[in-house]
Amino acid sequence: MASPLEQFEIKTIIPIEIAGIDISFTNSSLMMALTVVIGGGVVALAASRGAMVPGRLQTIGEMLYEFIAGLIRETIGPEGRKYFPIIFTLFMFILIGNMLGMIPYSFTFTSHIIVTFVMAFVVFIGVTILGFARHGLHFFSFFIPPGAPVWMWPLLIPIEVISYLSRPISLSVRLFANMLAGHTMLKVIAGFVFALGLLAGWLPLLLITALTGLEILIAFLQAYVFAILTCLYIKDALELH
Amino acid sequence: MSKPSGQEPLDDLNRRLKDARNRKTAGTRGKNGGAPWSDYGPAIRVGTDLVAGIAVGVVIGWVLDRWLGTTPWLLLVFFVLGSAAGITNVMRTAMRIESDAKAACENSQDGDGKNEAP
Repeated sequence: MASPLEQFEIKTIIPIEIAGIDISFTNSSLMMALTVVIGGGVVALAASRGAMVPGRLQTIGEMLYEFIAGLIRETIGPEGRKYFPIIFTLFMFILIGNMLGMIPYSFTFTSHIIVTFVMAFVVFIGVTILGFARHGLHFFSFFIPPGAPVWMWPLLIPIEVISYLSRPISLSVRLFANMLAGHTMLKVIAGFVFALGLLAGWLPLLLITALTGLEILIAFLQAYVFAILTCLYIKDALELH
Repeated sequence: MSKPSGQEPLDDLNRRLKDARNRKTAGTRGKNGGAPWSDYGPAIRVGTDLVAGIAVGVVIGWVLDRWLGTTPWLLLVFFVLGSAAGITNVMRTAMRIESDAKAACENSQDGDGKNEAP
């Protein structure tokens, strides 16, 4: 029986090495490229017609647009419209990456911490720059809880700073851990189907059918949570508290 | 439906536009706030928020200890601070969920009232 962790292995497809740095095109890169092509393709094709009575693809495109636009309107408010491109891109990238990972024999790049961490780190740095650009040095007042007495500051400021620094960790670990755990669980239970054979293998088969549905839900939810947290961080940087 | 009086067609149009806009926000809010999976989103947020706070605290403490040679005191101090940060994270999320739920509730009542108004 194959190891349930084998699915996460990085395999080099085209070896490339520049100045001693390995930048090979791997199965992970392939899935990311595919995600970008599919995501960009769906949106471009959906937007190309612009029919009054939308076709199937246009309906999907409009649904995705409305979903993220509504999310931004609710969390950031009308000021958030500017940040639609980055939030929509992140959402689509994670959503399609997760969904492609649900196809048997494919690879889930969101189950690698480095991928999710880079995305979370970009959001973190971007939001911090936004905060400084908007408020200048006044941004540091973000780390002082409103209404706290001055003598509490030496205790509260480190807590606030740690809380702020924990954002990219929390954001990346959540996505990575959910995808890793979910896919490992699917493979382990799939292994039981063969181990138990015709006699009792039906039970894990039923279970895995249900769990596949759950995993698809989680694939969507994780993209949604990543997008909504990006919105909340942007809102914090704009409004400070 | 009200009859538009001849003198104030623009006012009437404005009112109807406002109604439509309210309906729209109420609708999306209801869709996001009422779906069965919407409670699951915050639930998976709090767990990692707590752990991430502690992890960042421990890493800062450990690095400072190695740098300043004060093992293990700063690690202990920052573990406590990190735990506090983690709990702060969870409290913030919880309070946000509560205020969101309250706002969604008021908004949907508001929206319903306007939709039903003649």
